[in-house]
Amino acid sequence: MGSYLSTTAKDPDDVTEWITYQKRKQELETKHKVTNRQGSGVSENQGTSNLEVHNGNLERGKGNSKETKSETILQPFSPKGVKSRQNQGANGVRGPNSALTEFLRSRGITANEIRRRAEQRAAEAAATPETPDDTSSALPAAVAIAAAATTSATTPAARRTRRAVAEESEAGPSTAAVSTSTASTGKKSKKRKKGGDGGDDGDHWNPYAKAIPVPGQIDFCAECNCRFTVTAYSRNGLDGDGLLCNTCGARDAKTQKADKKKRVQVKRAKKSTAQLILDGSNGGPKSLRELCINLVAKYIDDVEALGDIGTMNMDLICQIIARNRRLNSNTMKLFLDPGSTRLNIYDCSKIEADELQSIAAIVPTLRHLSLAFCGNINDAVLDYYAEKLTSLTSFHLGGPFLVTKACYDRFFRVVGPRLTTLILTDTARVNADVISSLVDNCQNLTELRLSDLNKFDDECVRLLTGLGKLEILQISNPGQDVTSGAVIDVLNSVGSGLKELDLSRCIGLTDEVLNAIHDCCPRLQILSIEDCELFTEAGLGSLFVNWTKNQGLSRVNFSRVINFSDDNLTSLLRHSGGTLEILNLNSCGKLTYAGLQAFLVKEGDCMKRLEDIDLGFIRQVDDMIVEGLAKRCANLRVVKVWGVPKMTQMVDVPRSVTVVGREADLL
Amino acid sequence: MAETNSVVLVSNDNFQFVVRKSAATVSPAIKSMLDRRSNFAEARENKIVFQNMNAVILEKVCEYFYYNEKYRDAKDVPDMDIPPELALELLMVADFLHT
Repeated sequence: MGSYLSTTAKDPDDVTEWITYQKRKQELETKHKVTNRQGSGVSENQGTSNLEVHNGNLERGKGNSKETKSETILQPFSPKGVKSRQNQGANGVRGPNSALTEFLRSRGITANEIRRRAEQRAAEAAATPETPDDTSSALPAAVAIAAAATTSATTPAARRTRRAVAEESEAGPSTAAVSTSTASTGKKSKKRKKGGDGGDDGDHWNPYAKAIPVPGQIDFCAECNCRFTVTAYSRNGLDGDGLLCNTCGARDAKTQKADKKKRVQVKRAKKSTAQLILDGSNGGPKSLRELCINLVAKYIDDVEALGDIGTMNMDLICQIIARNRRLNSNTMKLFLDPGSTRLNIYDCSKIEADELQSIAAIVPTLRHLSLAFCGNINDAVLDYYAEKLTSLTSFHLGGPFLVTKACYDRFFRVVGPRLTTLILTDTARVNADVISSLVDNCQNLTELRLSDLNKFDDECVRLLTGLGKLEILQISNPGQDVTSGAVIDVLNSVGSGLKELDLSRCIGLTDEVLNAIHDCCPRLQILSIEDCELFTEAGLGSLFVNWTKNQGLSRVNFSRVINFSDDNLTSLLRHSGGTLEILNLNSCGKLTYAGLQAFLVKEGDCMKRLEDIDLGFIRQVDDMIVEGLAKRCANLRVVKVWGVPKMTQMVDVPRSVTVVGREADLL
Repeated sequence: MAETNSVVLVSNDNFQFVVRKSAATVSPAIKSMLDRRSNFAEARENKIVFQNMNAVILEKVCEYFYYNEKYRDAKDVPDMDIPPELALELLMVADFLHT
């Protein structure tokens, strides 16, 4: 192994790094019981078979050809490679590896290398069936044909790498990974052969393509066979079988360039129309107001004061610049209008805590304050709000992960009695203690939205039974298990007043909750049970059958309720067809074409108020369904059809209806 | 006096703009001002004086009326060119005119 150091020709610095690397490696690998290498960088044979393989390979490699070997296996040592390897070790749990695999990884031998070798191995296996290789039987015939071509041109280097792979396969558990990669490449190469791929898709490595000559070399033109010097600008032949000479290449250059330009233009135009559709615009002329708002938002950094443009317009500008991630301490000040009562800051992530505090100092008259993504807000700010915002009744905090439990308690004690709306999302500090303080102090709450709280569990849910005035309740995506029993308790005590109920992504809920909704919520108008997978077809059906207490729902979100069926749809529309405004059936995969058609033909007439329907990822939907829907629902404005492959550009809907998410608009 | 199918818009610094009625009625506010049934002075004289707009702004507004009329049924409309310094004032005016 003394030859090892000399072949890599490392300089002294690299050697010391190598030594430290080896020491760390030693620590890592004692767990895996893999052979250690001693600090000198020369491995000591400790009688482990893995290491012998390693040694043997190096010795044999030397015998073949020293130069190619140092190119492929012993690349110059790079500290970077070591670092990434250590990261790998720290991140993922790896099983025991052979010394060779370990070594190759430390050398940064990439997947491409492995794939190439796997390919060769496959070729060899096909040519000589007696080689013990369990994957050879699974390989497609195309590889076997290809094998004949490659084996005839076997170089010493190829033979060596092949042997290396064979040894690796003997060496241990890493074989599994290698053999799967063999199988997949086998499939790929078959596809390539079938398609007659002209090798211009640069990132795919094609084992059968001719090597691309280096600029400066002499080559023969693929078309006219004349001799020419290869340059960096030489073009590929159309069949992918080599380079073209200057004259042949220049012939098609102009048309190719024009084609490419045209393709890019078409793609760009489609992209911008798709964007417009997403923004809800129908492509017609924008209103003067919209034009001005966009312009102000564009030059927001140069605006000194917004002046008397009205709160609506201010809010729109705020939304636009928040979306463009330009809402910061400076731009925020433009929206602080002393004396105003409502303030929405849609993105506080770039606003420091003291700037957030200044909101209460500048606009103490606020009644509604909404701070989204307010990760910078801390206890001091919230205490200051409690003290200064004396008329606050509606408060939204999104992502206040620095605020502590004690501070919530203080805040609710002071502000709680006058709060009617509270929205609290995305924090891990809200637990049963905070909720209990909330319930004790905020007795006047009519709207409570709690979503994405990591520590929200059944106990928290049960506490909510104490909020008798609730009209809007949202418990979505709780971090802990929320079970039917707790939710039913809440519905039993507050359900009679509820107008809106959102139980999205409470994945543990079962049919009993639906029964409770049926029994307890006569005034319900808005219902969302997104992603509740355990609801059965029967349960969903019984919710709407004989629900005479309820006057009809206006917004329903059943997206990803996988058991929602045709019958359920019919019973939903029989019950709420006349009142529905927004209907979300995204990913309700059980709906059939016949069912959808029946719901359009029979029940469609009653959906007079329907404005917005989401039919995304219901594969059965096609142009006919959407056309029928648009014909029957006079108020329809938006139809969302993401992931519906049968929708085409030819769908004939009135101009007032926007179809969002068609594949044809994007591709 | 302008013809009946056009209307005179006057700015607060006394610049007069003669605009086609079909274009000016892009704004619901102007449309109702010119409604004969309402018997406003504006409708009788076919002339509207805007105390809250100067000539520069009113010119842009007129430009927008024609722009909107021209592209009413078109798709993929290019945005109208508005100088950034006028944006805020125009925004207030746009609110006033409901356009």
